[in-house]
Amino acid sequence: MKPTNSTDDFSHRWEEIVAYLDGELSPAESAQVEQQLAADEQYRRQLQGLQRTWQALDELPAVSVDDNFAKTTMEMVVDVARSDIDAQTLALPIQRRKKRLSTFLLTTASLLLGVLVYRLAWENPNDALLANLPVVQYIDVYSQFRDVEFLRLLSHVLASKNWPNDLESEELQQRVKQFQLVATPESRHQWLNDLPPDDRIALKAKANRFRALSEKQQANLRELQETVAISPDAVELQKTMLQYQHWLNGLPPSEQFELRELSVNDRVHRISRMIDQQTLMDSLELSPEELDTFLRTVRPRLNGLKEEMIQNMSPGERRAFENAPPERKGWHLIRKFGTSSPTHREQLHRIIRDALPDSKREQFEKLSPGEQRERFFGWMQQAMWSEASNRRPGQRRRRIEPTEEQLEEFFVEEVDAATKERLLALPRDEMQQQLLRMIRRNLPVWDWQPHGSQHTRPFSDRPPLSAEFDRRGRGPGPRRHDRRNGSRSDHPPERPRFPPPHPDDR
Amino acid sequence: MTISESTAQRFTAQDPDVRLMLQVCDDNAGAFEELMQRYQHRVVSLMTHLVGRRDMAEDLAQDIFLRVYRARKRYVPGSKFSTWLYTIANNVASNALRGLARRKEVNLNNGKSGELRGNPLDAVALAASGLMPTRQLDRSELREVVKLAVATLNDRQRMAVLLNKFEHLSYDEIAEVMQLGPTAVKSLLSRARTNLREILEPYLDQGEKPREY
Repeated sequence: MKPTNSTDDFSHRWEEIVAYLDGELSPAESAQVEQQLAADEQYRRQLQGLQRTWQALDELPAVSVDDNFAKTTMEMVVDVARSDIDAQTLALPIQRRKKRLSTFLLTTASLLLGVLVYRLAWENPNDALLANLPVVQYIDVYSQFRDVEFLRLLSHVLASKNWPNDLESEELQQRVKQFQLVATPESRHQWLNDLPPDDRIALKAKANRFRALSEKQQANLRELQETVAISPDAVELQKTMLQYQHWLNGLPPSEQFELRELSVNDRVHRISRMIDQQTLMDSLELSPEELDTFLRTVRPRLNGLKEEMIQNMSPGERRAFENAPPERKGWHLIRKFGTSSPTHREQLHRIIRDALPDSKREQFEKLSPGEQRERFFGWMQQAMWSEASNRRPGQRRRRIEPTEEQLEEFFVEEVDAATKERLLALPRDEMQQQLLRMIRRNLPVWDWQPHGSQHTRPFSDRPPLSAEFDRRGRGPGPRRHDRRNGSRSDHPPERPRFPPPHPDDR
Repeated sequence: MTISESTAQRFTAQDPDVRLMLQVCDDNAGAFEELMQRYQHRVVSLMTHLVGRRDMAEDLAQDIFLRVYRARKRYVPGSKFSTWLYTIANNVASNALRGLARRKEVNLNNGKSGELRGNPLDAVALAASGLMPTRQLDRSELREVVKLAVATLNDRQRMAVLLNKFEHLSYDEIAEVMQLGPTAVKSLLSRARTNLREILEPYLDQGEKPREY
């Protein structure tokens, strides 16, 4: 391939191709190059050759240094600082020299502290972890937002509200203190040294997630961390972030994902609405005594309506009811109560309202009809749980050992589509174990009849599971405030997913 | 060059490493450690590919970090921190390469081959240029040929290529680091890439190893 034009033209042509490959041309210039590429085979080959040889440079081996490099460099820096101060001090009158010396001592102390941190880091193979610790430790929550403006807006919007699972003030202070310890290079190593083994394992997993990110993503997270750590309103940002993390941990993965996908404004307003809702729902929690009274009041009145309900069914509903297995008929009726004629809805509403303690009635009325039904189902399920737990002396709690056929039925009828999909991806044994766990966790089941009636398939008579969590993000296990009292993890219940990369991510 | 207040503010807001460097200005040793942690591998890597000797590269990298520390009180953020750091690295590397070139001349004049052979990439070139008994199409061979191709570039071309390829600096940033105009950088990189292509393409196409450089 020989140049046919003048040398200048030839050089210019190469420069354009190279600049085009490097993304350094204006849109108009790029368009020109692209036109030429489309028309000129030789030009195209030149570009491809350049591209190929440029890619071959990736074979150049990467070089990294060991810990000794940092150690000796820091020692040299300390020497430089000392000589600088010596030189400046000698030239000063005695009084100012004293002042200068005290400054020197401070500076040297600070540097030596730095060297000390490094020495400790050399003994610890995790020096890279140490450097990135402030991001790694909080990677789960940093992966939930991109800009501190989100925290500022959240703090502003929620200023007059309480987080539904509000951290005790002392605990929040403790978490902020921990955040600051981790953010400060001088205290970070000690914090890491004091970390219990279980938390170290969790930290290791977070470090792996951090390492899996691109350099650009890592840099973005570092920048975010730094802003949260040193902004003028840093303490407020940290409090908001830690509260948010705590609250987020109680949400199912799907809701965490949905929130992440929203714009900042939409997300903050959604969070605000969810918090209002949760606060209202939490205010409707019943104590064990209230639950017991509720169940005892509601059950006979519902039983009294059973016949009327059956008689008022349409032929289709009647057929479905009659074809339902006996143990499912109760739940069938309850659902019908909630959705049938206005009269029945009103009846159910009255039954519930009358059974509630006075203090809860007003709050209950604030809910929409759908939320009222949902809350009612929740109470009934909770009441059954409580009843099953308070077994009589000498009576063993029922242990569910379903047959394979029952497992299948449970899978087909009770598990929602998303959970089915997840379970089907598992090996058969694993799938059965998970199903079994789901069944056991969701005991007790809806018990239409007063306690003591026959139960052949107790697990089947309950509302459908929705990915093991109900709509308020509560798992089938103990309720959120129960968890708060026990040991709980700070990690969200899912592996964090990062927002889609910014257009400028490389 | 005087740096305006607004420029300094802009880079302080945009670049976390600039903010760390400003903490170094206030004698914060922890901030200096963090900066060193973030850049030590990249700086040593750059120096190794520039001078071809690992031990020398580490010495130069330490010199660069010491200069950063010494310059802390004069530091004003007029660009990204990495651009400023690589400007220092370029100066240190240029001095070192001039020294290497002088020693190489002396050695050639003395005709001695056992010590101070100059840039050891020459040795790589020799090894890759035909002394190997049979050609092996493997990655280690490709790696040696690529190292040789990079070594054949002149110092400025090599610096520009490394900054562009591995540090992802734009032409403007490379211009600032190397104290050149953007047009000169465009031309420098174009020549460098054409040279690389002339050496590497025959090898990639026909397995033809470069001969003497």
